[in-house]
Amino acid sequence: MLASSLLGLSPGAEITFWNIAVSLAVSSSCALIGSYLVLRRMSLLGDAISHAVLPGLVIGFMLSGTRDLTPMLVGAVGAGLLTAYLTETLFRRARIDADASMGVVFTTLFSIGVILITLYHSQVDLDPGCVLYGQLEASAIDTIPLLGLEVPRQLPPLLVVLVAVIAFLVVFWKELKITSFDPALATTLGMSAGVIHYLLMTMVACTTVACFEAVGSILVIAMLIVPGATAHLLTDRLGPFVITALVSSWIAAVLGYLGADYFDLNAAGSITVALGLVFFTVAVFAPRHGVAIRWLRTVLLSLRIAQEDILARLYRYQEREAEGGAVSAAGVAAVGLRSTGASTVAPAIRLLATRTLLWSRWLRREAGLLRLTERGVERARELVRSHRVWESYARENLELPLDHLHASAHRVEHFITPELTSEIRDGLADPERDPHGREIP
Amino acid sequence: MPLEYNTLIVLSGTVALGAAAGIVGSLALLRRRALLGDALSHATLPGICLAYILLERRDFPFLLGGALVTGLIGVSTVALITRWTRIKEDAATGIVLSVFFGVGIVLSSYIQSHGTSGAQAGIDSFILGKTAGMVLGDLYFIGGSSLAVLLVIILFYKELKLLSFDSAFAAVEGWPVLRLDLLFLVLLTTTTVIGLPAVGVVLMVALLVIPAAAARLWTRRLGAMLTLSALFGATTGAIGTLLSTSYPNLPAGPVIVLAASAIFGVSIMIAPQRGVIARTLSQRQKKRRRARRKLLLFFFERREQGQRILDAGDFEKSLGTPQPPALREVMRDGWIRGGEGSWELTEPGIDRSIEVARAQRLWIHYLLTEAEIDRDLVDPDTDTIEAILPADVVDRLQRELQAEGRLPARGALPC
Repeated sequence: MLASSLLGLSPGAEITFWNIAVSLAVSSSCALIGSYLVLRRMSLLGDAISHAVLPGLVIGFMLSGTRDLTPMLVGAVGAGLLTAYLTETLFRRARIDADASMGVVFTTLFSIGVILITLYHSQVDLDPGCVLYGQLEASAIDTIPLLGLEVPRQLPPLLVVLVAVIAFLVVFWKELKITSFDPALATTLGMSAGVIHYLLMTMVACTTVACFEAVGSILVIAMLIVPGATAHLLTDRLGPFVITALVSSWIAAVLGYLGADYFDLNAAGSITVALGLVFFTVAVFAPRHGVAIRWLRTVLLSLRIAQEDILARLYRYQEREAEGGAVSAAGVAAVGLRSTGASTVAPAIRLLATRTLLWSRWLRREAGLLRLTERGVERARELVRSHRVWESYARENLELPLDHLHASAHRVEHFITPELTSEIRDGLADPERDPHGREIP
Repeated sequence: MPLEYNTLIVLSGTVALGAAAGIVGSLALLRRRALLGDALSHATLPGICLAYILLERRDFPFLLGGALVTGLIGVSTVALITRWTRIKEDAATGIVLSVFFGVGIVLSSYIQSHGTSGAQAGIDSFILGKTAGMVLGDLYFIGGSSLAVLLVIILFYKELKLLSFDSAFAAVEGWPVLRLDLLFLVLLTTTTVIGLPAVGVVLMVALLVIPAAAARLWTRRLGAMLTLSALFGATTGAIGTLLSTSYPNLPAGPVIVLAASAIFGVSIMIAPQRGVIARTLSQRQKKRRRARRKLLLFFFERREQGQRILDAGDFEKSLGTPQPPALREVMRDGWIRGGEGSWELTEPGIDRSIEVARAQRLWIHYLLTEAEIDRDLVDPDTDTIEAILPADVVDRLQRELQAEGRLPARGALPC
């Protein structure tokens, strides 16, 4: 093997190198084209096509009698397009659900493929197991010469497909973008959404076939769908979307392959698992759409609402005291813990809210009672003002009954800005008193 | 071919399985979750492998128990991904399908490199299905579970029916929708799992989807659809089993799937209303009726202008052909008489042409004046105006047309 001397690698490392090269080529093509499947909500068509190309592959193989890629590619693209066409026809003509049509078509074609393989076992050098989980580990063993290097036999066709996919995306970038996001606009601009759809399906079929033999259909499906879904959690723009999908597929390919190598496991399966782990990590920790971040955001929002409820309630107590009314000491003491009106905040959050308010000196303790500090009074006044202004506004403009005003005001007070409050206040018939007759601070 | 005792046992197992899958699949199809079964069946593979690793032998119910557990985890993962992230259901299904199956492949390769020889074969039979390898105990297990699924569906028929068509209504009515949904998922998972040994992980979804989709072509009623789907599923199971016992080197899954596809293919051709033949016939009929009406209208309009007898030249000029194909049909109906290059309306033909013209003019008049539809968009090709518009509106329209002297009637014709 020439490459070991050329690249200065030991034979073992060289096998790893070429196998990773093959999996990177596979993951790049699949992630690029798969991004569009995910965007167009056609992920399962990728699944369907990668199963359904099997009979085309086998027929191409049988007719040509060689492992030459061209006849297999032609057969498989035919089968892939047939899947897309039949699915659409069943959906449009026979009004069978899109999902179900796909299910009928791809299982039938896949079954035909498996039966053909079994019947013509002697002519067809494929076995059903290999179709599903491939022989990525063995790619570095079966080599052909290319540019003075011994490269895996599967690598050159994979690179051709990769170049074709990139060319397709570059040439039809605008068309793909518009037909993916707004097919109606695309039609008014004179693009044929149908033509783009079938071109995309052709590319999916080509990619599937080229990758199939190397890594098996299950990894192809995972590579088509998972990187796109991962990218969808990270970005909203098409360019970064495609790049993110690509990079996440590379990470999974390298990690998955090395893991398989280390633990002596099936490489295609291991890369699939790595893809799943990358997706899972991103789903939890993604900066904007991650589950953890969204949970944290909810907790912070609850905390803020709990804090504001406490401030506003204490303000009302002090108001009543100033008017000479009696306020029980126990009531004030309990304010940090008691459920406040429409509040749905958990007790732990309310406790935390009281603590944080004390730490940041919005509140102070005075003879065992919670009192507002000067800062606290200011903020609480703002809140109560918003609350009462909103009550007046709702009373005047929405004609709500008196006992319906509080609940909506209690929600709105947390989100309304002081500017908006004063703007609404200027429009009120009586900007001094709320509908319950209390003064608007 | 006399059936051996063993074949008979396998047969009854697959028939029960086919029927259960047909019914559960119909419910899934109606809830637009046809491909959830695909994710589900792929998600069972890691469970089978884990059970195998734990037990280190092929204990059938235990393997299926493992499959049930990871299958349910897979379905819940699809639900959680769609609920908690912005990923849509199709991608979530694809992710669960491929990643869970990937885990299964990894575990299976672990078994291969660490387990006893022949272990791999036990697992492989679950991927594409192998009815031949089943022993009597396995079949009792499959048959019994299928019957249990059928029984639960019969018990909860009303609830499941409501859930399939209008789950929002069911919720408003106070049904425990979430628990019923869980029941449905458990039924789906159980059916999928017991189908695995026969059809295999990859093709199990076919047994859920294809009989249901075929049954859907024949009927709009749930009861009939479930019955038909069960029947199709059972037939599928029977044909598949008989074929794969005749050709033991074929994997059972694909054979069973192709039996189902054949039933689907026949259904899509001959089903009433939605079948290809029925639709083609009804379309052709509509087209012909349209052509006949157009011809009668043509005769009527000429008659209005005072021309009783038309010749080939008239047709050529206005209809683009000297011998319209509908001419023979209207002559056969007895509405037009003639031949040798000249034709005219018969007495009943005059009445019929008046009906056609009247409906058309009323319709155009209505669309232009009352519905304020643009002249270019009006489709005057109808003779069912009474069926569409209320009687008093039709009366008013008639009076308006009469006032303009355009209402088709015998008295209004020149001769």
